Amino acid sequence: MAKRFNWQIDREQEYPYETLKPKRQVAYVFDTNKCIECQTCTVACKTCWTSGKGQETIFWNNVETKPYGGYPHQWDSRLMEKCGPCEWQGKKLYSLTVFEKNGEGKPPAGHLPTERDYASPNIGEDDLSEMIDQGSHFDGTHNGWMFYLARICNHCDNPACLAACPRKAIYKREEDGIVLVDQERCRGYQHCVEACPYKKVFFNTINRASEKCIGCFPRVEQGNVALCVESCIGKIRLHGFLSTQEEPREDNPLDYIVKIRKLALPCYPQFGTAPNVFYIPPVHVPDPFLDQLFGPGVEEAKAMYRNLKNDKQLLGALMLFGASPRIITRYEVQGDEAVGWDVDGKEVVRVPFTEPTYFRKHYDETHGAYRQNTV
Amino acid sequence: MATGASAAVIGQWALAATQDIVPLTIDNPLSNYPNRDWEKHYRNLYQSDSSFTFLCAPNDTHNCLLNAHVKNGVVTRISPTFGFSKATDLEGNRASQRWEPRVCQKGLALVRRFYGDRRCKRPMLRKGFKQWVDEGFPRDPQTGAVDPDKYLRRGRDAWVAVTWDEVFDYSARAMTNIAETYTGPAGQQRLLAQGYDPLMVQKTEGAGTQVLKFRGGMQVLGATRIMAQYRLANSMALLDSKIRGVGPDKAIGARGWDNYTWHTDLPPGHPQVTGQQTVDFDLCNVEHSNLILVWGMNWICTKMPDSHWLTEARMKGSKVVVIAVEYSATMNKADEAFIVRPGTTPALALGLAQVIISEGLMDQKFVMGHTDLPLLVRMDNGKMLQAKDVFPNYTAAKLKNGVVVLQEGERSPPPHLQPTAILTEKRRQEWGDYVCWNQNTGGPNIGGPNTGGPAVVTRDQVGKFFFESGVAPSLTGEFQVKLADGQAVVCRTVFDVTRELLDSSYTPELVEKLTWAPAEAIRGLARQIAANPEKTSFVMGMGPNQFFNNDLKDRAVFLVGALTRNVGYIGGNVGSYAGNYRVAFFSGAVQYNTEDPFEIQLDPTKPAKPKRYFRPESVHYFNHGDTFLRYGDAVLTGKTHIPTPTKSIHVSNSNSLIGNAKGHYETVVNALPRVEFIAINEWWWTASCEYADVVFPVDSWAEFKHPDMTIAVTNPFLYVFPATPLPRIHDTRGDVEVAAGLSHAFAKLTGDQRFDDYWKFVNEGNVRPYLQRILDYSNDMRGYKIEDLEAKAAQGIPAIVQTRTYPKYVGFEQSHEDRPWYTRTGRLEFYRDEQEFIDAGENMVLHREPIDSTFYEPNVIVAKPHPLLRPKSPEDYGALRSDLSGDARQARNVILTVDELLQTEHPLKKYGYEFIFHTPKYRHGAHTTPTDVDIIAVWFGPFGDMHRADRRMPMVGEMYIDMHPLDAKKLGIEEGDYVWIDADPKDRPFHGWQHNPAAYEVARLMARARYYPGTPRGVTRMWHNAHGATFGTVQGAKQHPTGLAQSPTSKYKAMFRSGSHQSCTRGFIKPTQMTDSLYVKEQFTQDIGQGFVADVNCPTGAPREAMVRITRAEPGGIGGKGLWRPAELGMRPTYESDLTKDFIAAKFVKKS
Amino acid sequence: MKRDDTNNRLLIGIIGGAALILMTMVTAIFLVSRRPIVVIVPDKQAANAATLPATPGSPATAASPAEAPPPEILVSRIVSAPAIDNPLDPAWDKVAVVEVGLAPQQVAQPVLEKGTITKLRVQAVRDDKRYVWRLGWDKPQIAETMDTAKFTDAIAMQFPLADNAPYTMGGPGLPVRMLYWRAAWQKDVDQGFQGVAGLHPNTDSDLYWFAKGKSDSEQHAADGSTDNEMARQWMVAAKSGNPMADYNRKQPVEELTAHGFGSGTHIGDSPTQGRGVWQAGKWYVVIDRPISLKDPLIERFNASPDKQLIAFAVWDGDNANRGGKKQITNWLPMRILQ
Repeated sequence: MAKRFNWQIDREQEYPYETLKPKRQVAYVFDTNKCIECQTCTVACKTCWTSGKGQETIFWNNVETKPYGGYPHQWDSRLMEKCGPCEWQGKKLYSLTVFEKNGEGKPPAGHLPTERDYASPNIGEDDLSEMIDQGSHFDGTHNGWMFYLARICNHCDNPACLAACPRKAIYKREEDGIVLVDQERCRGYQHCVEACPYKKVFFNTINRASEKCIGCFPRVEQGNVALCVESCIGKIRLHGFLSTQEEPREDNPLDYIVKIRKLALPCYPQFGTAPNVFYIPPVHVPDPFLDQLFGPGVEEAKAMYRNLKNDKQLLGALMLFGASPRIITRYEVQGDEAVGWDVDGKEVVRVPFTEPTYFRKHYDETHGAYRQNTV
Repeated sequence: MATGASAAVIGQWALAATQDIVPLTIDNPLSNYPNRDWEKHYRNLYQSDSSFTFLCAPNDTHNCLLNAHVKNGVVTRISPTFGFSKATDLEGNRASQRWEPRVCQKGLALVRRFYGDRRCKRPMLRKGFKQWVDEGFPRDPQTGAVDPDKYLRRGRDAWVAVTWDEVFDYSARAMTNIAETYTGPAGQQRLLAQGYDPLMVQKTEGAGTQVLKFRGGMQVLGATRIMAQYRLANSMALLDSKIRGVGPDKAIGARGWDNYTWHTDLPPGHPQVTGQQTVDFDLCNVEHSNLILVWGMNWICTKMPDSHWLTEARMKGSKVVVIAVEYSATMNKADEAFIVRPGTTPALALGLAQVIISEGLMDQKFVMGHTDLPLLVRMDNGKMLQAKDVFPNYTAAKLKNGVVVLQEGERSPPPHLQPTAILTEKRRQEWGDYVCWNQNTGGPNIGGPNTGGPAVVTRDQVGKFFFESGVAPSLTGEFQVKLADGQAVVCRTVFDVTRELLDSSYTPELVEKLTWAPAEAIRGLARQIAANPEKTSFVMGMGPNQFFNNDLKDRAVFLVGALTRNVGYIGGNVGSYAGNYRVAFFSGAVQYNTEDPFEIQLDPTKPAKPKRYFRPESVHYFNHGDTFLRYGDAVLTGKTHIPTPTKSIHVSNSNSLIGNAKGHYETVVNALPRVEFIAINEWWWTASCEYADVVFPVDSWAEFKHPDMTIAVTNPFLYVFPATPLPRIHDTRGDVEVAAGLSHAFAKLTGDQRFDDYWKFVNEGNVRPYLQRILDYSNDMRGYKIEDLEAKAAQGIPAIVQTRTYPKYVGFEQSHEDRPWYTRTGRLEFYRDEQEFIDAGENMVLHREPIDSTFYEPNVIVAKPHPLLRPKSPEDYGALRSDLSGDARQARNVILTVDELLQTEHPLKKYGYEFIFHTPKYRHGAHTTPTDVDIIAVWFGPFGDMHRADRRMPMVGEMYIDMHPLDAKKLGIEEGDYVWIDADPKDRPFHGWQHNPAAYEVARLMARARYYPGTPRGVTRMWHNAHGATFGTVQGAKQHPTGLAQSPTSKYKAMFRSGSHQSCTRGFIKPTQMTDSLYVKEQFTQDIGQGFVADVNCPTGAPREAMVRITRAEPGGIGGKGLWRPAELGMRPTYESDLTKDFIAAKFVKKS
Repeated sequence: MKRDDTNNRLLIGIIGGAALILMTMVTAIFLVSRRPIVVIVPDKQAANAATLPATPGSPATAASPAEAPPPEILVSRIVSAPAIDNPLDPAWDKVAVVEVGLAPQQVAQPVLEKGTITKLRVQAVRDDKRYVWRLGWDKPQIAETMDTAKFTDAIAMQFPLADNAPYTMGGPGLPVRMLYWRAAWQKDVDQGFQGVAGLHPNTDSDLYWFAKGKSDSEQHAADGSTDNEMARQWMVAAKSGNPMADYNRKQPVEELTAHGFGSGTHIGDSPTQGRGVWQAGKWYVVIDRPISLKDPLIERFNASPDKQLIAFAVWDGDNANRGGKKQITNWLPMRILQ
């Protein structure tokens, strides 16, 4: 068992294989404050990748409502039941990761859902944490609350699926850190399905092999964002790369939001897989549940979000969301515009903080017509 | 079984198996994985051969240009075009990347509809209909009625596939026969014999074509395609002229049904306050507001592609306040949230107004300059004081500001040259001028506490022009005014009488009792609004609009907006959001839908000569049992509104007429059997198709062979539907081709060539001349060339509408340029002195209870006595006060104070009808599009299951009713149980259900119960988007091996085992929306009309209202045994296991 | 590219890598299990069960004399071996039965914590064309469907292809050959491929791309066949030639070679045949191996018929057995009677 440092839990941890960092790591920021649970991401993914026979209940991407939602059912709480409460001292995790829980040399702690757990994929949709009353009135933080959690494979630094596969049929691509199940060699043991804390590996009933989100690698290879990101009308998603071979860069929007400003936080860092989808916490939700979900830094992130109008550099990075189907590797704030460049150094985004307004004459001499706002 | 392969085979195999081999190493799967060749299969899967652009335009107010990705000739995937940021206007102004991407899950799922089993694949005739035609249209010799049991077994008959020529021929012959049958005195006699109201029969004027009804569903969604239905209706004048042998002067066309009002999308109070259809603004404008009130609108579900404007405004510091009847999805984006009693919006708004006025927070200047509040109203007759009443031989002022007055014989200019509102001189004289109390002058004042005297206020004098006139009006006080005829009348300002009503009846404490909203929170909100003039957006949804008191709601909200200077500004405005309605953006459409069929312009380069032969009508009367509103001995539907009997229906893009109609089963069981012909243009088999006689299969958006145009009321873009390279998947045609083909059949029957000429350009395969004519004659389109727009659209790029401003917002001219509104006073009017309003007790803005969805006595006026509150009582109408039936309620004027109201109860409460049942729209569907697609349905709520382990499920997703868990428990209902939901048994699910068990089995609403913590006690919810059960699906569920609720004959699928959300709704019509005297701007042009104007001054119904009784039907466990699994597993509200409890309580994290 | 080419390339690649695979595996195993590996003592029921030595894979020789003599598998010669289409052929009643003890695999992760099958009944015969084994064990009910968290009953026989090949699926340069039968595959062969409709009969899908429907206008019909390349695009495992994703399986038996744990590698177009039937709480599986002089396995048989070794593994689908979660034996002596 190798030891490796996990920055998300601020300590070394066990992992079956020694650390080998990809050239760069594909990563995402999801702003839960903007997610509308429309499932456009889900359907964009489904129609392209999993429309085949045997994939009826397989949705690599899903959006669920917290606290009552979960696809598959209770994917997270069942693991927490196994692992017990996590313990943070400041930014440092003192409880055991899934790799340590079962004792050295044992497979990662996990649980294997049943076919029924994939039914009702949108269970809990919009369900509130508490029953409301006639005339309930909320101001600021909501005491009855719910929010949306969009989920894809985290393409973890320490993938539990990879660690659990006795055939080593799961691998992490050295060029971008995307984690794949070898569709040629997998024999469908489902150890990966059991081990993935996020339950983002699925068993295909007619292939009798497991499969997972491929991070849209055919698009990433062309410098394009994943389909779930491209189609996100809530503009909640930013897809890019975290620097792995160098210090985080101020002008890399991913590095800046995640590593430098820490506005976005990993999902269940206590599991120890070092996931690469980072969430901006919902500002209307009380802290405790968010601490459980996103680990340390929730309070700071919420305050930072509330103050964005006075934080132009950070706001600029957030204006890039959804502006282009290209992956943005560098950005700048120029006046009241955020500008972004793609992998080839081409300017692909120039987005204003406020949509411009134009005024026209009542009578348009050029075209001989009266223009009206009230037609 | 063979005993082993041949030695030769084995030999080869063994040889192969023992080759020398190259080692493969998997040292560390975190790097250097040796076996990656297989990855190519995903690259190939992603690869498509080509792509093209099409426009997705359900009636969702957005419209998205989308890329269709083609593999092997099949569209397997759809994606956004990212072309919106390349959109420019005629001056080269450009939209930004803030608009990207525009798409949603429903659009992406269309690939499964284009190729789905429920496509309308070929022309279809209903067997019984075909038989009726083949047998020569047999009718009852006395009444002329068609035998419904023999020929009209709609929904139960078999279907016959026919050719296009046949389907046109059968349809034209049937419509001709119907028109002939009901032409002339003999025809009118037959209608009377069939029991139609004499006033309706009279309305046909003996023209049989008047019983033919056409509807293009939300015509703005297809400037030529859907609008073709009205052009078709106009061309029926040719049929009339043939049948009655009359000339163009006497010929009458068919009837064209309304859209925006039929869908209850019109906020009917907007024309009552502003004189024109609606005030709204592009949703992106909210980023200019400090305070955003999202009121009765589930923005993030129904305005998906524009949700980011709301969340980004908030991100940048705007405050979002959400007001709804439950913890709506949008509330999780709210900084402040109110959960109020359904249907009490008028009261809540009046409460805000009361605080703003009583705390002295209102904007005096705006009120003085832009509202009727300073004008005087006569306390004797409740009429506005007219200048000619006061000043001897007063002659109305010449109007110059923002109005064109046509002299005798002068005609309106073509639409694009209409600068402003257009009045005839006669109307201008009727309007006269108004009077305020001027503190600066003496004048003919006969004393009283006040100094000063009456002063004329003309329509020109709004905003700065009013103040330039030097008048200093009193807002409060009672004035003795000496009239020209010598008598003295007491007058008060509209403000003064309004304030009295507010202070007596709508203080925060009283409003809290009505709305549940805490009095202090009401005060707090009112102060925030007043603190943000020009920076508060009132974003009103269709929630409050679908209650019977919707016009009062609008009038009250405008009052709050006007008091705080929040009408007509980019960051401060009132907007109502429902339906993509504003057909006047194509003001030039009159060039197309009303081209004179007797003088057809065949030169594509020349303009058409418009002449309207068809007559608009509201569907609400058909939906009301093909009757209008009679109460006691009174007729409360204005003469200008009275419909004709409906004997033939041809609709396009219109599932709302039958399939998803309010009171759907009433329509199916009781209304349709009197209709002799029903034809539907559809590309996906809907519940409407289930009950049609003829289904014309049309192209899907991906298969258009003719371009078309549309706009969106929530964004500034002009859209073209590009013609696409995708070959037609089935034997379909475009809607315009259906119209042309049908016309061709009429040409053959009548021998009238003009039926063909009328569609010349369609027949030549090029509809562009029609589109260009529309562009050329539209105010905000002129200058665009259809070819350019098409070329751009084909690259996924829309154009920008040439409104005065980008982005667009109504009220700009009035608030920024001091132009008058389209009202008589030119001001925002909060007092309506038309007699119908006075008789209804709604001359002042007040609160009425909902007509059904209330725990209390329905539709009563809630107010303390007031000198100007003088409604006609039931007794005045010769009706029984005690009659509280749904029909009677519509006209029943009874006044109760707040405290008196709270002592009453809904008449059916004692029978267990104790739950408000409302049916809003949800994220998973634009109406019913495409909720019956598997990968959409399975996400629709908590009951989706692709494997359908419980074969009772109608399909992979199913509809449910959201209940407060404690309400359900009280009734012994577990979550996931199937329950019966019944509304007023007098009229729902249909009149006479007691005697029609076969139909009742289909119509009675059954659905799963869902425990929903976000709804208050007593309030239940079912989404509007699900496909209702039909005779076919109920039969299918019994026959299908897996219990699928799919019609064996049509393949139609339901999301209900029986009934639909429309089992509990019904048609309602409100007297104040059927007046003859209200003046409003016409639908297409700037001309001012009076009385009925389709989609403007027209009933809107109350489709969200129902009080229901809920009873347990079957347990939720698989096969009806035990609990529904998620409840059993302790994952659900009130069923929480310790694990779920600890998880929600965050017991799995410890910090130190 | 043709299927068999793919497989040969796959084969070449993976067999070749076996040595290194094993080394990593072995290292991994030691890393994995820092605790001392205990000798698993067979329980009472399996009185004469093979003893599993402490080291991962003892050399390919019968267990040392020090231990209780392991049972010997006799392959008796008869004129005509029973046909495999009937595992219940009365002819088997005349063939001697050797009872073999099984123990849970606990050498390499993931281990089988607790075994559920302790005994295996082995019979073996040969004629001049074929070797035929019949394997029987007790199983209260059938596990023959594969779904999420659902696994299948299965059994495998293992033979060394090199002297000193460890019983733990061979070792570096010390390959083993395995003949592997699955109940789920038997069901595929007997009743047709067990697809979605078989597992979840009420499933309702709107369409499957390029599945040829009843008519051209229904070329995407959900009940259409996905047996064509266009439709297969979405079935990437099948498209990649993964032997698990075989929708037209002809044999319930797969032949594999291995060079250590985790290295089991499919051998295409094996002539091995088999059939399993379940009756009255027992599985009866026959596996038939045609004789071919070019076959490395048969070559070994012929070289020294009386010095052969065989090992067994049994999987209990109802106990989530799959992969390393299995009951196994050590090498057992096998004598082929001439």
